[in-house]
Amino acid sequence: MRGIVVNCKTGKTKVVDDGKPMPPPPQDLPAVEVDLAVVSEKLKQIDQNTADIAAIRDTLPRS
Amino acid sequence: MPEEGAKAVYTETEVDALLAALDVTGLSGELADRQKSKAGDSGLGWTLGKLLKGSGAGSNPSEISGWEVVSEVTVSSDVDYVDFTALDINTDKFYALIHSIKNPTVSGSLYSLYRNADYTATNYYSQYISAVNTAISGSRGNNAGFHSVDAGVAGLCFGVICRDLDGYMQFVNLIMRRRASSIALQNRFVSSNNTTTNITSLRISASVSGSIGQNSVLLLCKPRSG
Repeated sequence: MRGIVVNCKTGKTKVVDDGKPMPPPPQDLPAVEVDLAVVSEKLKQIDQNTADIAAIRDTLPRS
Repeated sequence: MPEEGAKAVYTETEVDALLAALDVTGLSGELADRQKSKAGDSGLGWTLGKLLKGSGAGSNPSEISGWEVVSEVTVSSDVDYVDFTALDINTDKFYALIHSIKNPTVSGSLYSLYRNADYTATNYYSQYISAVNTAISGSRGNNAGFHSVDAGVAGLCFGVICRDLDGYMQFVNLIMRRRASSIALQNRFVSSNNTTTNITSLRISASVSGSIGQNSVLLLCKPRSG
């Protein structure tokens, strides 16, 4: 691996190659993604469904 | 010199010349400070290399509070990592890392933050939340990754590093990922999974060889109390 080493006390900087290979790249756990635009539409749909159900319920005969 | 009775107007050079000629033995206050300053009087006790602010007539200046640059690195040719050594976070308390990086390779690169030469990725955890337009995503990794930059583009991040009160390294980091119409916001935090008694070195390491590209800038700062 080739890198820059800075000594923050002396301010000296050097470029070094330690001869080591690159390590395997780190892996994140699979991301969970939420699309707020889709969620917003779903919530609107749920609100509409709730309103529709309430309207139907109001037409039903009450005992 | 002005005529008697006329308002005296002096240039800075003339004032300095007058001050230089003064015998400061009997003087006090700002005039004495200015004269002593020009004479390099060691009795002033000003701290070498510090930014100073005035403390009033007759008093020595004090240091200005703020962030002090520990090191600034401008990468001269593509490298895999940058090491900051000879640090002492117990004395310095916090470090701020500002990192403007160009990934010149053909692969996306994840940059990791290691401390005290502990380069074992699984000794760290990172957590991110990312926003791209209306899409929000998040994940955790058993690694020290703090910044992803896509192939061939540049990225910016700003974060604060500390050794918490129990000895863990904590890194709070705000990232500008991608740009223009592809703009993406990301918060990515890193925590070590073990403790140390100090942080004496930091490594910013790329996952893809050569992806800390030429002209990338890394700025490490520490707080300074006035």
